[in-house]
Amino acid sequence: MIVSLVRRIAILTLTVFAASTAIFALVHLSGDPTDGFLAPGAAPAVRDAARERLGLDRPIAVQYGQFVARTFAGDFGDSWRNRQPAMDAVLDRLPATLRLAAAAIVISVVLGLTLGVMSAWLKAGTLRLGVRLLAMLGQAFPAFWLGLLGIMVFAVQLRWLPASGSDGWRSLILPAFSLAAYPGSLIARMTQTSLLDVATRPYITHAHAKGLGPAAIWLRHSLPNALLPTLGIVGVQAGFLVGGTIVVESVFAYPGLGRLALQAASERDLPVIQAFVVVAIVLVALVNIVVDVTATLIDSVPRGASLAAVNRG
Amino acid sequence: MGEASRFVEVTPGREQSGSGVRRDQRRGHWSAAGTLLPLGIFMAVAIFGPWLGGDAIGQDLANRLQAPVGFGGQWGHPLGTDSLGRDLLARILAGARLSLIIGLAAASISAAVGVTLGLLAGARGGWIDTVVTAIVELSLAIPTIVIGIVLVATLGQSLPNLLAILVISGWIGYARVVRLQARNLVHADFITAAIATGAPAGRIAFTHLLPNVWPQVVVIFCQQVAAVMVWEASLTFLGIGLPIERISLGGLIREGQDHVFDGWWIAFFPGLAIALAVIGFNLLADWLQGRGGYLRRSTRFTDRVATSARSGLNGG
Repeated sequence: MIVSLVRRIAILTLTVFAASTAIFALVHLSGDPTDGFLAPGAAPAVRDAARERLGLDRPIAVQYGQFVARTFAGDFGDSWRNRQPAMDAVLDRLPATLRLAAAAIVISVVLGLTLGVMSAWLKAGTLRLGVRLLAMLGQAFPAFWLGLLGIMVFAVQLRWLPASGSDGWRSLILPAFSLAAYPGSLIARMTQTSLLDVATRPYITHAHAKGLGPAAIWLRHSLPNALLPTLGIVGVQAGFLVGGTIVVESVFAYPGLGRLALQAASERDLPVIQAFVVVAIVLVALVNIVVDVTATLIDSVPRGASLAAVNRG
Repeated sequence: MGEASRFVEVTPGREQSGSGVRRDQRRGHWSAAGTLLPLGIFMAVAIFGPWLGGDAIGQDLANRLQAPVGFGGQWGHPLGTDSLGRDLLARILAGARLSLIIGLAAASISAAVGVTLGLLAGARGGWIDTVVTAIVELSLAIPTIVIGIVLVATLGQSLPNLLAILVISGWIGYARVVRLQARNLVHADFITAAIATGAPAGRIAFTHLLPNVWPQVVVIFCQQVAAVMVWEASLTFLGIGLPIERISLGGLIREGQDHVFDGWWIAFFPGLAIALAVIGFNLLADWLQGRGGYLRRSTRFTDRVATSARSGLNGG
């Protein structure tokens, strides 16, 4: 676990470094950065003052060094649009995005696990097929389309839920569900497949032979072993969740990171973009670290439990 | 899978009843037909649609926001019209073609990059392997959307930039799988024999290793086309994909966002078209994976996780 933690943190550091290098190169390759926030016909003196204020008049190597150093310090300078520090602008929006992403993770894990476990446990063929079909559809429709459909049905027609904004949990329901559809489908499908796969393993036969009841076998042997691949999906989908949150936020006019970043992209507000990129990378890495730790914990449970069973038997 | 199915064929019982085998084959044909149907429909629509359908650009303000047939509309515009009176069906046909072209192009370029780097890393090992693996790990940690936002903010919005975004996040899926396969194969006897005959590294990679990883590459390709089409639509929907003057499925849904109150069909039908394509390509991938003679069962599972990572493209 320590090894994987160190590995994740090393990857995180390298990623932030690589991303800041790429952004620095892109910014300087794509023309004069001052174009981004000065009026097109600005006087040369104004332009020079701006260059000096931003440190753009210094040698490129010095600029690069400072840029990377400031990236790791989380200091990206002021937003070019409003005089707020870029990092503060991003951090202001972070809680809303975290709420949405967390709600989507919970929904996708709960729904996915329930459907997957039910369809594998109840040996009904129609249910199994139904879950597979549902999973196929959930993976096929883009999250933003599901969101729009949700607005049209539940906000416009039925008037049950708000179509946009972020007042209270009611406005979280539609975005969270449309975001959860894809990972939820994957989890349902993967849980079903791995439960059916685990059921054929020798250690399950052994548990039966030992006289353990079906419930005990499920709780101690089947579920923990089938859960690991599911957790793997959550980790692998961390990037999707962060990316998908941005898309879904835009559908629901939800005031999170995504809307800020899209606006910054259209206005070429580079400090805000940089802050956003670093925060997004850190978020993905954090989700993966949490998943790694949880996986290690789950992995250690069945070993202890089965040992206890052996001692008792 | 090849070994497994051969094993099934020689089990007693199966072997004796010839009709059973034939029934299996027949069922195989039917499932193949069912599998390929969604993709067939989408391909036909995308390829031939623009000749069949009407005018995708012509405006007709007198007939703006007409509902589809069955909801009070007329057969002149089967799926209704948009806010400028343009025929939605014709626009979906045109958009489906562009989305398909972008999907195929991005998945092909990604395959070329990913397979080459994967083969190099897996077969040569050493520092090349270290560098490629490091780049893969780093890229996995950055969501596609984030790459898109950075590129659009710095370089602007255009078709080449969109392809760049899709390839930057797409090649990883190939590289990971090909690298692992090449690593496993590089100590096989036929490779040792090829090295012993003095074959150059390039020939070993492309004439000996590549044919053995090809079936998996084809499967990933199909999954990637589906994933790329969703990402293209998502980026265009966000306004950082295709430029606004191009007709695409994502762009149509973006237009439909303004008409959730008075024109649900504008966003609804393009979404169905995307889903049809995604289901079609994913079913094709599953079907190929089931048939692929070289695939062992154990690799299917991990591949799924790996590709869903990048479907990372779907995964991000």
